[in-house]
This record gives sequence, C-alpha cells and structure tokens, in this order.
Amino acid sequence: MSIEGKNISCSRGGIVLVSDFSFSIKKGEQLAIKGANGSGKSTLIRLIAGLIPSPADTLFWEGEMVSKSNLSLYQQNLLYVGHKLCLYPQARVLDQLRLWQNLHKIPLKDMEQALNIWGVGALKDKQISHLSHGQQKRLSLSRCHWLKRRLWILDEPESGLDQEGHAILTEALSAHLGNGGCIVRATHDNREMANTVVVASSLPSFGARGA
Amino acid sequence: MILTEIHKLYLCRGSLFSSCCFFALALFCFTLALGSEGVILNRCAPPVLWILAALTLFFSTPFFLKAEFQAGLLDEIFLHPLSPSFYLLAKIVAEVLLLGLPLLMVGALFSPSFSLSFVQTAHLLLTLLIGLPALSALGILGGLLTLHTQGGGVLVSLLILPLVLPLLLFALSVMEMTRLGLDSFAPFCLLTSGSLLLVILSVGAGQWALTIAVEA
Repeated sequence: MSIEGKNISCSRGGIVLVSDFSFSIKKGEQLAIKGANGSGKSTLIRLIAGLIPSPADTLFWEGEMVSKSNLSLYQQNLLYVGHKLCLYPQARVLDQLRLWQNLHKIPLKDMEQALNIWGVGALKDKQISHLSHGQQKRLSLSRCHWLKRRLWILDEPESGLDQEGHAILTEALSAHLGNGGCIVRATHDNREMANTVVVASSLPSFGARGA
Repeated sequence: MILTEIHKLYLCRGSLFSSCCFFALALFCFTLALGSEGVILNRCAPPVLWILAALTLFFSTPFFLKAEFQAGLLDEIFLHPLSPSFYLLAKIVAEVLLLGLPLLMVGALFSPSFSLSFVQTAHLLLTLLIGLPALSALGILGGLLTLHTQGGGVLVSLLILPLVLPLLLFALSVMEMTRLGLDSFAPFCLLTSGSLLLVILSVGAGQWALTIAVEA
C-alpha cells in the first residue's frame, strides 16, 4: 500500500492555496505536514482526501492515479477526520452512534467499545452540544477504532485533547502504523514520531500570498 | 440512507414543529384578512396554500442544510460510497414524510375556513402531495446554493420561487376544473410530470452544488 503526491499545486480565485507539494509514504509510515497557521495544511489534507479535486497526475494511490473515475474507490480506503467533527449537535451521543450505524453498517457494540477506549463511554445519553470541545473531539476520533480504513487522513487530531487524550491518540496512531496502515496528518506536534516523514508547507501564511 | 435522513430530521423536530406553526399561523391570518365571503376564500385557498407551503419549505430546508454543513456532515456524505444524488433523494423523501405530510394535515384542518367542499379539499391536497417532492427538491437545491451566504432563507426564495410557477399554474388549473365540475385528469398529469421533472433537475443540479459546497 502506498500513497504518493507529485508536485501538488492548487489555486482558487488567484490565491495560491498549495504550492508544489510532493510526498511518498508506504504502509506503516506516517506523513506529518507542518506549517504556520494559514499555510494551506488543511487545504492540502482535503485535497489528499479527495474533497477538493486534485490536478491530474499529482495524487497516486497504490501506484494508480486518483481521478474522477476511481475517486470513490480510493475514498473507501480512507478515514478523514478534519477540523469539523461530523457530529450532529442536536443529537445525543447514542443518536449519533445510530446515525453512524445507519451510514456505515457497523455494529453498535463496536462503536460503544471505541467510546470506552476514548473515555467517553459514560456520556452516551448526553446531548453532543452539551459536551466540551475535548469530549466532542474524542467522540469524533473514536471513528478511528471502528471504521476500519487503511489510510487515515487527520487534520490536527491532537488539538483540543488533554494529556490523557493525547496518550490515547498516540497509542491509536502507533497501533494503526503497526498494523500496516498509513497516516497523513497535519500537525503542530513537535514530538519525535517513529516511521514519520515530516514535510513542511513552503507557503507563507494566507494574506501574504498572491497568484 | 433514507432512515439516516429521517433520523436526522427527527432530531430537529423542534424546528419542524415551528415550521408547521408558521404555516398554520399564516393560513389563519389569511382567513382573517380575506374576510368572510365564501366565494373569495374559496378562490384564494389554492394559491395561498401552495405559496405558503413553498415558503415554509424554502425557509426551513436551508436551516437544516446549514446545520449539517457547519458540523462537517456534508464531507461525510461526499466520502460515502453512494452517489450524493442518493443522499439528496433520501433528503427529499425524509422532508416529504416529516414536514410535507404534517403541512398537508394542517391544510386539511383549515379547509373548512376557506369554504372548500370535500372534493375541492381532496383535489387541493392531492395537488400539494404531488408537488411536495418538487418543492422539497427545489428547497434543497436553493439551500445548497446559498450555504456560504448570509440570510440564506430569503435568498433561496428569491432564486427558487420563480421555478415553482409552472407547478402553481398546473395546480390552479386542477382546482379551476374541479370548481367547474370538469374532468381534471389532464392538468393532474401535467402537474405530476412537472413535479417529476423538477425533482430530476434539482437532484442533478444539487449534486453539482454539493460538490461546490464541499470544495469551498
């Protein structure tokens, strides 16, 4: 399994969002994308996840170019956790699990087990809007445990987590890499990480950029 | 996916109830404003019910869509193996069931206030039932187009209300035929095909609008 990006560039309305970004990781490896706030990390992450169309001949999954024709097939292999947590604010935690169950056809007990790993198992009857940001983040990240995907694309997963949450996240990332998975992560985490390819965004912050 | 959309809409039951209350209150205001002459009430009932039903859907749907967009749920739909058009169709079905049918019931309750006979009420509600999927589809399309704007509800109405005119005219034609005691099968067929066409076009355009909304 491998994912490769070759000279990925993206502009919108005359503003350069991503400039000449290249990377290559194989199974068991992690890509850490670092950069200043507004340097295009989230745009790049969304591009790799296929939420923004990538230019031709720039993104390759297992040697094959990712294009419109095989985008859906590529996306079935990935889990994307972005800044938005994909949680329905009016729902209780249990309602959210049932929504995910309808969407992804995963047994409820697997999701409840994941909630216990993330330490939010006791909050099943609480409304999501009443949870703290950190608790909501843990609920969102619990998808890493029950949605079995080979490629994880995470946008600053550690933001909003306390020390215990960080530890659970680190363990989950290590376990996924140990099982032969790949991770693409935008992060400000400066701790040393094993099996990690670190790439910095070359762009300055948004506002200092032109076409 | 239909079950997911019904569940999501059910979670917003407070907003659904508010929409039904708006519809009922607006109908009540019209019955007071139009006076007590049965002929006037009878002639005004079909356009009033249709326009109020359209406005109720056009004001509610963008609200539900915006909540989903802000929560990042549209990304999840985009990453799902099923085409986004299935999501849009599931949304239309959910809206017709959880908002459209209650609006029909409220309309039926107010029909005596508009001096409508049983046959006229039945035909009017049937035209609304046929038109509801198209109204819902247009509301969803308008909601997706105005996701990144402020004051989406009013803008949706400005963009989408003109597209409702053909359906409104066919529905009024049905009611006129019914009032005159003539056969209304032909305008019913036109209404049904118009509704189907608008659903198909809205789902197609909605898929494109969803892609733009997720990319932005």
